[in-house]
Parts: sequence; structure tokens; C-alpha cells
Amino acid sequence: MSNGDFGAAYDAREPLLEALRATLELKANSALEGVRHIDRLVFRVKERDSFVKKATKVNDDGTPKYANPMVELEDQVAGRVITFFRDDIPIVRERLEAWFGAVEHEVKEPAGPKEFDYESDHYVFVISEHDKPAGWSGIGDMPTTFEFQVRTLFMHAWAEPQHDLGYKTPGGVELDSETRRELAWVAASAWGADRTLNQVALRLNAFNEVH
Amino acid sequence: MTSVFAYEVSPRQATAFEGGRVSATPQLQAALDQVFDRSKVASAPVVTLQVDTSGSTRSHPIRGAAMDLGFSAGSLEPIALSLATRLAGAMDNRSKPSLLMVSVHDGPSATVRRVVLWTFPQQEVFSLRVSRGTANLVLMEAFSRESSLRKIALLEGPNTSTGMLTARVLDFQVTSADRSVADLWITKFLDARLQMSSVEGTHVLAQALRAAHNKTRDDARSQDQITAAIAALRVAANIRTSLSQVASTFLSGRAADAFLASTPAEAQAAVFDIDQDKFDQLVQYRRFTLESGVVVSAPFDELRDGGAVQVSEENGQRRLRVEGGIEDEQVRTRV
Repeated sequence: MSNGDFGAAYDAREPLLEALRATLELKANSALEGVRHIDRLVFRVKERDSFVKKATKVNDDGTPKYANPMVELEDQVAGRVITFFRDDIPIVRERLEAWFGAVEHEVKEPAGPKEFDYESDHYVFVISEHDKPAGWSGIGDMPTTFEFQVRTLFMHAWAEPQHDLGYKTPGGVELDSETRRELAWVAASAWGADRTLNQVALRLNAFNEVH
Repeated sequence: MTSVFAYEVSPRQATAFEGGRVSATPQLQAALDQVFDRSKVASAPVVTLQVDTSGSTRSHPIRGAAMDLGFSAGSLEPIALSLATRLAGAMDNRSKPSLLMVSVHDGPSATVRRVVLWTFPQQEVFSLRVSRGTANLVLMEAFSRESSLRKIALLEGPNTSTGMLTARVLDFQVTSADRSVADLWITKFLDARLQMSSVEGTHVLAQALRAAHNKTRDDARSQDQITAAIAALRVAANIRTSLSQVASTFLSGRAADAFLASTPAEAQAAVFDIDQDKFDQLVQYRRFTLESGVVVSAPFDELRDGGAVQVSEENGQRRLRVEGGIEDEQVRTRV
């Protein structure tokens, strides 16, 4: 399929993805009902241009990365919940895993103890049959899964600007050592603030109430 | 149908399995199509396979077997045999020997395959044979295609990370009160979970009951049915059900229509376990019998602060006060 074909195919499904987005947001809110320290919970439909860009990615040998991106791209609908504290994350995990069927769960964190970088819980959940909007089965190759992230405020504050700065993408901005050092400091500071805030919350019994 | 395998499987069987690859004849295809269509497998409830979430392989014994059966170029018989071994391990001694069939089919597109797992229980049947005017009745054992104990699982998808993560399942025993019977096919053999979780199902059930109650305020019979349904569901132990089943068991007419109206068809059919504590919390239904013999049924919102029913504790005794205008009055014989 050409870029135009992918774009047109994505446009055709966009109303259904939007309907699913609304349903999953409602369901996730229900799953987390009563859980404290939630800053926000948001679902979004992937933007058309972003979908086409990802769908047309190629491997190093030039072959398409995805045999059928219309099905394989799992972030066509994606959600994220942001908590105040690190110790809220296990509570959120438990609720989400009880409600939705997980097929993948990865805790993204720096490779070693001397490194400070991106942190986030990444889930892939199955889209339940009863959550699919009317007409979903009528379009072939619809996704069967959606992605979901769980982060604290500080993890998010570190992660989000990285997208915008774009330095991690191939062909993106080359960083000088001073800039890399500054970014490492920001990451470490976010980690430290996150950890300290959690310790304060524990000391002040912020987690003692039953969720 | 590109290939089909059949094995006789007994509970906990440790000996070699009788069976193997069978010819995919038109007659066999037609027979399986008939079972498939009559069982309405294409619209049966969906379960999610409990894959290994720790990596990107999403490994799972049933999923792996189905993917290999659908897409592997190698010998398929060992894979089908592994499913027979797995089924034998899942069965306990209350299960009858069964025929396990595994059929592999082309899917709706070139990149999609369909794998169907079928079990047909063994039953005793009579065979009447008449020869030279002499009738002989022979007692035989056969595997019944129409048995209510038959089970089917349909997996379908491409050979990608997103393929065959779920299955459509036919299992008439899934709502059995005996949990080990209910769990045999979905939990023990397929290692899957009901798509509608206990938490979600209980939420949906409570919402549907509340909606039905609100829509039928002018209908005493419907109100009685809904109240009785709530009372029964509150005390039922280990109940696994669906909204459709609740409607057909407890409700009729306007009550049933109102109960199902706000829920899409797929959600009505989804099976779930009721979380009793959560149900109580969400429904907030209370029925009080006072010392005087007066019975007070208090729906949902009236027990909150400022509601029509006030419950308090005075001198170690719980007391109830209720006040409101009478809208309807019925004479009943209390048995």
C-alpha cells in the first residue's frame, strides 16, 4: 500500500477508533474508580500522519517493518494514566490487569544503576469484543489490541519533552556533550524528585486509606 | 479445511493416545460445519488467552499450537498430539472420555488461518441390527456430536504478534455452580480468562438493574421482579452469569426489556463472575424486617444521607425511620 492508501484506510476507520477511544476511557475510569492520587487518565486516537509514518517504516534491509500495519500497529488507540506517586503504580497495575486482559507488560527503565532516562509502565491489552463499537467487524484488519502507559507526574515531565525535542529519532538532532549532560541531569532530577516525593507521601501516611 | 486430527482422550491418560490425522472428507467437513453452525460458534463468547506478558513473544501453549498448526510447514501431528496430552491433564475423573478433534482451515483472507478445537463426550448408544429377521440390540460407545457437554474453541488470526490472542468458546458448562466443571475448558485447558472481568461484569450488572428500576417506577410487577432479582443475586454463591442469563432467569416483559436496553448485544452475552462485595456496594439494596413484622425494602438512593430511609443506632440497637407519601398499596398474603 502507498502512503496515500494507508492514509485513506486510516481515515475510513477513524470514527470507529474514536468510538473505541471513548469507551475505553470510560472503562479505564471505572477500573480505577476510588483510586486516589490520579492526576489524569486520557485516551487518544493516533493521528493520521503519525500512523502513516509508522506504517511505512522499513527495516535496515529495506523490507517493510510491518506486514499488515492496519492490524499490527497497536497504538491506534492508546491510553495513559498519570499518578502522583511511585507507590500508586502497583495499585493502578492491579486494577487495570483485573479489568483488561494484558498480553504484554514491560516496565521501561534505564539499563543500569548509573543511568537516568525514560521510565514508564507499558501495557498492551486486548480490545474486548464487548468494547468494540458497532461496525467494527465490518472493516477488515482492525486492531485487536491497544496500548496503555502508567507513569508518575515526574516520569511524564521527563518523557514528554523528549518527543518534542526529537533528538532520539534517527536523523534527529545530534547532541553535543554539554547538552547530553544537561539532559542526564534533568532525568536524574526527575527521578530524585519522584522518589523523594514518594518518601514524603509514605511518611505522611498518604497511602493508608483503602482504595 | 486443510487438515484434521482426532484423538480419544481419557482423564489423566498416561498411555498413548488412539487417533491421529484423519481424512478431511466432504462428509466430515459437512458434519463439522453443521455442528459449527448449530452451535453458533461464530457469535459465541470470546475469551482472552493468558499469554506470557513478560516478553514480546506472547507465548502460550494453545496459541503456540494453533499458530504452528495454521502456519508451520513441518509435521503437524506432534502439535495436535500435544493438545490431546493437555486435555487429558485438564480433565478429572468426573469427565467422560472424549473425542478431541483439531481442524485447521483457511481464513477469510490469505494471511489468516482458523483453528478449531472440538471435544465430543463419549456416550453409550444403542445400535439395532436386524439380520435374517432376528433383531439384535448392541450397546456401543460413541462420541456424540449433539451432546450438551461438547465444547468448541475457535482461534483465528494472522501469523503476527496480534494474531490468535483470543478465542470464541462454546461451553454449556461454563456457568455450572461446580467451579471445577465450569473451569475445565476455558481455565484449565485453554488457559484463558473471560473477557468481561468480574469487576466490569458486576458494574454492568448493577448499572443495568438500576436503569431497569428507574425506567419501570410506574410498573409494580416489574419493580417486584427487579427487587427479587437483586435479592437472589446478592445471596447466590460463586455465580457466573451473563446479562442475558439474568434477564431470562429473573425478568420478563418490561423489566427484561428495560434491563437489557442500555447494554449492547455483545455485552449482554458476555459471561462473568459476580463479585458479591462489589455488587452489594453498587446496588446498595437493603431489605429490613422490623420488630413489628413490618418489612421495608429500600432501593438504591434512599439510604444515603438525606434519603427517605434513615438508619441509626440508639442505645445499642439499630433503628429505622422512613417517611414518604404512599403511591401504591397492595394486599398480599405473607406465607
